[in-house]
Amino acid sequence: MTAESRQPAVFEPTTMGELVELRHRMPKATIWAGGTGLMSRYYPYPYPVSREIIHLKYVADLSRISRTERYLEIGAMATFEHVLKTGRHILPPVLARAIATAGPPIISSQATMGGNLCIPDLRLNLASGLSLFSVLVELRGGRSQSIQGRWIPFNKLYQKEGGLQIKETEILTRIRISFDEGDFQFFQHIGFPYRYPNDSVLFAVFARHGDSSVSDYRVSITIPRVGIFRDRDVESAVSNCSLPLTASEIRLASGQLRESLQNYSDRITPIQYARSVRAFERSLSLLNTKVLGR
Amino acid sequence: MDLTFTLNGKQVSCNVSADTPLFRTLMDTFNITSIKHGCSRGMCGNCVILFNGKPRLSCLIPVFAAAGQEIITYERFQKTRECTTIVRGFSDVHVMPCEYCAPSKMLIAFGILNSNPEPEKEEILESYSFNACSCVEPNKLVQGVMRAAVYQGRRKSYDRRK
Repeated sequence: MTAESRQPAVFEPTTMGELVELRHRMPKATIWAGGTGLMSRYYPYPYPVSREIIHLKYVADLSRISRTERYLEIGAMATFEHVLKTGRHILPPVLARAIATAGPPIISSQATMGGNLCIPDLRLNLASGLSLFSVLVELRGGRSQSIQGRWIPFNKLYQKEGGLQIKETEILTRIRISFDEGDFQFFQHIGFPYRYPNDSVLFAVFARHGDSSVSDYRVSITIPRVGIFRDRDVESAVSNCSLPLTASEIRLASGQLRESLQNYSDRITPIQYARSVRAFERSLSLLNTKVLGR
Repeated sequence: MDLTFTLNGKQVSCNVSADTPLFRTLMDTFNITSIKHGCSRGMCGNCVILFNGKPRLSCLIPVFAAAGQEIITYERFQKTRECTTIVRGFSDVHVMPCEYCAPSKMLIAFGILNSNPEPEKEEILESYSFNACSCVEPNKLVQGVMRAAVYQGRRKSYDRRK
């Protein structure tokens, strides 16, 4: 028996039309963006690369970043470094923090937004931050003569079980983030999701509050191999509470979170469970600190 | 796949499979010894090269992406004034990285100083956070890079005066 010796063919489209056409013709082709996919594998080389590779670097439209009064639109091939440099003052702080902690400068100058979102079996920093906001993602497919684009809400990008939900012939091209101003935003990255996905937790909070109460509270807990959790019961346990939160209110909300996480106890490791609860409690006490420090 | 790129100032060509990682091609085809084969997936940080002047992990670059690009490895970098500046800064505070990781540590230092001539402690620690070799104490490394930044500043102002 001999291994197949034919080398993979590399395609380098320069326009969106060419890219969509190539994707339509070769749905099994490996998409090459910034290398995040390699970091997510335990044994990357030799990896089962398909016989075709589509290299996205030369599609200029995919690296574009634009903004309007209502939203920020980021191309899927924009690198973290580019996004942080361009959008430092307009990105919501929780999202900026999620991007900044995705890796050291040597990684963030190479890793792309789309790459971070599109690893089939791993949810990373960006997904955690985006899940708090009103975000749309654009998927394009079809043929070059009739490119079909559709915008879907960010949470429809993933299945309930955590897998990626994109048709084989489609490609993620843009991410549209609506501006939303919060009074308290917090992101914590516990562990190293690429290296130890079964120990790591990504935790993000967005809250609005007045002088005396929390008016809007959103929390997202990302378990890299499982998915993103946003539990309405936990959020409503904190929303409308008066500030500062009392110890019993924190205990109540924390108990609610523990109960919700128990439903996934077969998929979450004990350390991830403990880390999620501790990060949640810490974020509430930071919220209190912020309010009391005014 | 036939491809041509600039390696250490010389134009080179090779015929390799497109899915070969760049570090493998540099080590096997061009006998580059400063790159170390550690994890192959961007975790150990011992395969740093300068890719178009910026530090990159060569394990995260497939060889096809190198076509037409400029690659500099430590073999060439060590002959530059920038390297001398970094070595001087490191020596001042007795930072002596082991042979295994020294090339990558030097190139990372170059990247830090290139992006910010007066780097902060956090920035330096963040840049080295993925470099898995623990032969140098992190605080010493910070001092070394900061010292190198001082020398780099002096050298640049001297160059300007000249």
